Amino acid sequence: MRGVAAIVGVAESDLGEVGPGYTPLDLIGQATLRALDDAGLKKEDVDGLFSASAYYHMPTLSAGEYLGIRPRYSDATSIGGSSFVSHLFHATAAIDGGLCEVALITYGSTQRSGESRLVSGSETLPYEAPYKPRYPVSMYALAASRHMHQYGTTREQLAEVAVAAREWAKLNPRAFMRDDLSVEDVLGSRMVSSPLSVLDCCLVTDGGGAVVVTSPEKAKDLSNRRSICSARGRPTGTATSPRCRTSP
Amino acid sequence: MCFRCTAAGGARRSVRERGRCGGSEYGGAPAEVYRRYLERRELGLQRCRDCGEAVFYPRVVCPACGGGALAWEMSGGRGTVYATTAIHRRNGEPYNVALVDLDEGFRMMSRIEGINAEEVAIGQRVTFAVREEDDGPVVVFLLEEEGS
Repeated sequence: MRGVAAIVGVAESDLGEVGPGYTPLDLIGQATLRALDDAGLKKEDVDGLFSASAYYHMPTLSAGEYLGIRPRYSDATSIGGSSFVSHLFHATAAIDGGLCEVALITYGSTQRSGESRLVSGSETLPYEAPYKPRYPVSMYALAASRHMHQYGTTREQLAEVAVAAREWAKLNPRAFMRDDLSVEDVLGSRMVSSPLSVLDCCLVTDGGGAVVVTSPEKAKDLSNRRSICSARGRPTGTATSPRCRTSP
Repeated sequence: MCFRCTAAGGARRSVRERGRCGGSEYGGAPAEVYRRYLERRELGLQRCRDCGEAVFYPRVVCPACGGGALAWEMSGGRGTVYATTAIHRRNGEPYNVALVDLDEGFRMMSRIEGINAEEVAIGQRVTFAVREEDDGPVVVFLLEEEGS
């Protein structure tokens, strides 16, 4: 693998329920301070800024202003939960191409403390809005219904996903929910959008994160050289299944 | 049928000329043409004149081949449930949201009426109907009657 960039700093903000008053930018600030500290760098070193957000229309401008960073290069690619993976690839390519040298990838959300409604960032097409799908849950529910029909997948098997996630959470002292969770608990919980019940769905929590990426040359000067990245493409699909072509 | 291009001889024009129209020659904004069909209690769909793809939702470019000549036609309104979910509310009965594969070869979101939301099943044959709602006419589907 050709190494063109290195991850040199990683950090999270406070997680779970941070309390009222904190903004997503505050969590971006916390995570950034900690990630730069982890990397042994200062914010003045950052010349590439990457972010995506359901809160801010122009998240790299909002984060840049808050942090006092004026990047040479910025990228606010927004493709849902995988946005930050794409940012890692784009940062790698930008560093490789000489567009920036120290890239900060960051995100913050106060979905639990700050807002009573779910901020999904989903837009509903006028051809779908009259049916009141509960996005994002219903788009996964429709796909799950089809998966069950086509492959014989069961609700018990789907529940294993939530149970496995909880088993990992129990190993993490910073995880928000660490209680035991069984397949029976999931199956018996309140139905949201069948076949998915409330315990099939991801938790609504506050959190932020930041990753610092730089060139292999600069990384040599830093003690914390975590991993080497190579530039790769990421495929994306559409969020709403009706756009898919009819299968035979 | 197409509202304007048929009369204007659209079918006889070269692909290049037709490809340039970007939809305007096919009766106006795609959403508006769709709404006009619906107000007549018809389900309109577009079909690409270049590759034959059935296109829904309405737009100005064919997502299959990239052509710009999408002609309107009327769906027979019969299809098969492709995916289904029952959305539960804290107050009130669950309601259905489904994806329906129409026989013309396109897929749309709708809801199946006349059956409990949880009893809608993939593979059921359904028929188009129109409901008047506050924001205008809405496409729904009913279970096709046995033997019809």
